Amino acid sequence: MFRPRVIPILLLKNLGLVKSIKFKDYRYIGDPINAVKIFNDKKADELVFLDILASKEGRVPNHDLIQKIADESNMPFAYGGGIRSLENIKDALKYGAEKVVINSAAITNPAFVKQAAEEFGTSTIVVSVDVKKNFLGKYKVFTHAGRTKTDLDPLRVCLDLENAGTGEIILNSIDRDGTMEGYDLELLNLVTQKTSIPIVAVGGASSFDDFRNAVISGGASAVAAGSMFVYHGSRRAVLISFPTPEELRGMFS
Amino acid sequence: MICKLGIWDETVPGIAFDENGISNYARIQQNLMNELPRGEVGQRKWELIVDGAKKAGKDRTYDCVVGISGGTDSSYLLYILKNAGLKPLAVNLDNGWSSEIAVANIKTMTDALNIDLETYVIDYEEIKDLMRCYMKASLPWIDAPTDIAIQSILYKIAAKIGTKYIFIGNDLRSEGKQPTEWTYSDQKQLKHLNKKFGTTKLHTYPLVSMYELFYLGYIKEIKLFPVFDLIEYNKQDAQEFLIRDYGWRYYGEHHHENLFTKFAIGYWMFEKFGIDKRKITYSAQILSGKISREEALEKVLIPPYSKNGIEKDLDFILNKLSFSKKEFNTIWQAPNKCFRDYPSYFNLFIQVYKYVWPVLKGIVPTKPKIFFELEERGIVK
Amino acid sequence: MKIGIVDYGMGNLRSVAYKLSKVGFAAVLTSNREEIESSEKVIIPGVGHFGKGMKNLKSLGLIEPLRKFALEHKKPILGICLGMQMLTDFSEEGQTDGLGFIKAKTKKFNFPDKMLKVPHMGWNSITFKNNHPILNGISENEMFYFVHSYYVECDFNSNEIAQTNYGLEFSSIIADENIIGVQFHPEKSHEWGELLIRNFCEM
Repeated sequence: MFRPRVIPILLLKNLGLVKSIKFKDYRYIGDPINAVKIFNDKKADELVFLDILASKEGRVPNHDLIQKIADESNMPFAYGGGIRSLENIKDALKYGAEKVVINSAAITNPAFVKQAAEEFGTSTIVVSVDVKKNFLGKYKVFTHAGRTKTDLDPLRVCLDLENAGTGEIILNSIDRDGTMEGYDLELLNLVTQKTSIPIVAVGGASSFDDFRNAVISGGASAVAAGSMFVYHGSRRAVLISFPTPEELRGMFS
Repeated sequence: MICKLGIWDETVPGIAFDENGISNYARIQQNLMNELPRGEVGQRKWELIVDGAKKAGKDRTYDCVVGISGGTDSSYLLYILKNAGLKPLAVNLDNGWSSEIAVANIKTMTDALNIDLETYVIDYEEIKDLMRCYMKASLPWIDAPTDIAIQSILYKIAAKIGTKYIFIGNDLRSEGKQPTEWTYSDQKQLKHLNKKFGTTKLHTYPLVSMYELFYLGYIKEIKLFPVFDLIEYNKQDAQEFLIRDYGWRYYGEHHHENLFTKFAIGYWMFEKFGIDKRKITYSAQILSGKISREEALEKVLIPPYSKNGIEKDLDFILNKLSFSKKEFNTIWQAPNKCFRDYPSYFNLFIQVYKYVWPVLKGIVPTKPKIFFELEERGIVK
Repeated sequence: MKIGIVDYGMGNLRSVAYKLSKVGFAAVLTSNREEIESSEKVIIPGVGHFGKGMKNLKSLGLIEPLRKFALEHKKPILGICLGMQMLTDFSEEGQTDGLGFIKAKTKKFNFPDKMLKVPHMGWNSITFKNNHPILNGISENEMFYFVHSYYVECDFNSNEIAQTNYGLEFSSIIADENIIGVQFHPEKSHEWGELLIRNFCEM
């Protein structure tokens, strides 16, 4: 039986894992390779690694790190951060990533996505779409790690991306990020009802119920989270966790 | 020659045998057990400590700090503390090498017992660099950076939350006293090695200077209590209990919940230095009646790290330490050194020994185990 | 033993090669016909457009050597994902002919109600249809990682080794003796994928 994926999203800053809250503060979480090892042992579905500095500082993907992660990882992993050229994608895939996550470059230039999908295959192209409500309460797409506002409507953007050959979209609610208040089901439905490609929910997850709701009530094909899998308890201790196979089996039925 | 009472043998530094074939290490262990009896005396002592912690922490969120690793001792200790009605804050030091089982156990225990968890994550590049420094320095105890960090962080967090009580799961009856040559290091040495062999400055690595330690111990009166020195504790029973009642998982040998520690003890020390720490731990267990001498002698014939195991893990370990095979070979071939080959506080310590204990008495709850060893071995008088 | 991994410019060869070395077998990434001919076993990985894949194979002059390898010398050959699809006769992706080593067609997933999304992406289980050494030690209902927008339908039931459900039943493992195809990515499917790769290596 097909089971929706549960995906940890891990942020990289230089060589370390970090965690952000509303894109502003970063806290050191630990060594990425040990995290991969632990997720391997926990049989995680898939991993997403986003390099926050590559994006911000215009750096190229860190080949050595990608290779280390890819070699260690027994499940697929997607790499994102500063992917803005076909060359970037080629490298990331060459060094072992199964997929690349494109953000700003895809939103500002959908044609780039089309090229990338044709060159590397639809299934390797993931676009992350960051969404925030503007002061009028309308959903708008943001780029550059939530710093740059656009006037673009999320559904419109997702449909364009689908047509351009995107394999899947990570739909991120900036408002919910780090709050652990649950996914934005309204935003999810807005997009999932009209799109044919997998939509991954992210932003606000705090419990298995949230995962369930995102899929059953929100139409998401997969759920992703950051805090939930690396933090534990009221003091936000750093501890990696992931649902057990038993927990996963019963989660979405 | 092997001690008649335990399995301490000539590979143990400073060992001496009396006319009955009994080693000075057996006497060290016996002295320790006499100094820290269990039974009624130990239980009473423990109850007094618990009462003291409860009273002092009455109006606070936590009344004590407990170090946890996901291993048997600390996991069971959480249960003991909770059962005694204490409000512990569990503290875990993340050195980037925790196994999945350790991490799962920490979660299981803190969740089930409703104990808050605090982690301290050292920037992996820093701890990696320190581990590399110790390896480049050809010292046996390459896990010293983690040990030193754990102690520092326990004190710092205890000070932060305002408690004087730090509980740890060490158990002299199942661990014994490792020879100083095998395991000694301190912050002075760590800083020296970092300067000499290291490439990374220490920003997140928790350093507590001698003065700070003194202040925290003497003025703030923060004390480290190895609980199982006082109360009845059977590791095997504890494991069965934890597995049955909490869904806790076993990871293999002592300390194998952390891959680097496993590598340090089972491979680095064992193969490069010919050090088998189990000679100490099993001997302690023989003296406390846990296992028989015959059993211990048999067990110690099996290498601590299976050939299969190290083959599988070595690539991963070297990669994680950023050592190429070539670099590692060079380090491996380098002549073995001892902590005495590098600066440390040890000599100072030895020199002022007779002045230290009266002062230390105010800081530590019991005579430090190292004193027992150094006295019996005649290194200090 | 030398296992050749066909490099035709598409797909994550590194992961496959690394997995092979992990289970103890040496892999050679190659687009050279001699190297392929002299390999004991061959793996065709692949991610991307069917039409492009066949075009690349053609321009590298690898179609004939692969045909000889699989059909004449009958040496073990494993197609992964796009690699499996290319073993079939024809794909709707690009309306292109495949290698035709196994009588089957590659078709597009089409779910007009948008309830099931395309690509089929994620973990799904397999049910056994026929025996084959590639399945040794693998229990039914183990999950593997799939990512594809097209699926394979065998002409003959006997070629369908395992089936998976995604809106319809499609062939997730196909085989004709020495020629095997897996739709999922065994190199990224935890221990069951690793076992399958080992089975292929030890066949």
